[in-house]
Amino acid sequence: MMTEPEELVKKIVAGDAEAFRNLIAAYQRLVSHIVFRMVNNEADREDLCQEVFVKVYQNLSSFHFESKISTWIAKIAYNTCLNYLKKKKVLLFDDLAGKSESLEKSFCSYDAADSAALATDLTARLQKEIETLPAQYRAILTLYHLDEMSYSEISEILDMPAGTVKSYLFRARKILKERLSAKYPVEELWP
Amino acid sequence: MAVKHLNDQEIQNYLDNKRGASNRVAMHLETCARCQAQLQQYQNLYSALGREPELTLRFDFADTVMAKLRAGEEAAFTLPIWLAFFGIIAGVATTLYLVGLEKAATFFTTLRTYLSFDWHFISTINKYLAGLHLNFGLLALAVFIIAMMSIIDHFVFQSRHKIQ
Repeated sequence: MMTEPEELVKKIVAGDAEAFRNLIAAYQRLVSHIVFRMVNNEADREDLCQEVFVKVYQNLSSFHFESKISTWIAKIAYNTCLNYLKKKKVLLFDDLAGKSESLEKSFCSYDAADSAALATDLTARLQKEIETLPAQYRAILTLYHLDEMSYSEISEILDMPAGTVKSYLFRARKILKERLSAKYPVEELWP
Repeated sequence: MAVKHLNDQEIQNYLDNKRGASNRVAMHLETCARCQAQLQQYQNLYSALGREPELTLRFDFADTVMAKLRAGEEAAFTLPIWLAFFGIIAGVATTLYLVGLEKAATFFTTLRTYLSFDWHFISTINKYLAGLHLNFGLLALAVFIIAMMSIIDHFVFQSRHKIQ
C-alpha cells in the first residue's frame, strides 16, 4: 500500500498543483524553523523559504524516498541557508573547525545584551541569544528541540557525523545556559 | 571526601535519555541540591528551546510560491537556439526536397539576374553536391524527423512536469 507522502509526490510529479499546495502546508513549519533560526535578516527569510519550495518542486521527480521526505526537505532548506550565509560572508562553525575553544567562545560572545535586555521572558531572551550562535548550532538546536529529529536524521541533513551533531548540540546548550545565567539573575531567569 | 558533582554533559545526557541514565547519575540527582538546581535550569532551557517561535510565514505564502513556479516555467518555455537552428535546417531541406535542387538553383540564378548579385556559388555548390550522388530526399527526411522529435520532446515530454 502506498504511503501518504509517496502518493503526494506522485501527484505533484504528474502536475497536480493542489498536491503541491498540500506539501507546502505540511512542511512550511519545518522550513520556516530552519530558515528563521539560521538567517537573522528578516527581509530575506520569506524569500529563502520560497526558494526552498521552488527547489523542492524542481527536484521532486529525482526524489525516490531513499530518506524521509522531511529529512530531504530540511536538507534543501539547510543548504539554501548555508549558501545564503556564505554569500553574505557570515561565519559558520565550519570556519572555526580545528581552532581552540576560546575562539569558539569569542565567536559566540557577540554582545546581544542591549536587545536582550528588552526581552522579558526566558523564551524571548533565549531567542536573542540563539541569534548570536553559529548558524550550524542554531540549525541543530532547531531540528532537535523544535522538530524533534533524531541525531541520525540531523546528521544526514547537515552532512556530518552523528557524534559531531551530539557534541555541537551539547556545546550550544551549555553556551546558552552559561550566557543567560551570566546576564540575568538566576531567580528571574529560572524561577 | 569531596562530593563529585555531575558535569553539564552528564546532566544533558540524563535529560536526553532518562531511561538510559546510569544509577550513579540518578542517585546523585536525588540527594544533591546543587545538581538538582543545575538540572532544573537545563529543564527550563529545554522547555524554552522546544517552544514554538512567534515567527510565521505570510498567509499567502503558498500562492507566492506557486506564482514563482509559474513565472519560472514561462521563462523557460522559450524556443532554445539549437532548436531554432534545427528548424531552419529542416525547413530549407524540406523546401529543397519538395522543389528539387535543380529548380531551386534555377530560381536563385534567376533571382541573381534581378538582384545583380554574383550568385555563382549556388551553381558551384549544386555541381559539388551533384558530384557526391547523395540522396537529398532521404537526407532532408532525416533532418525533418530529428527536428520533429526534438519539438515533440520539448513541448510534450518536458512539459509533463509542468504545474497546471
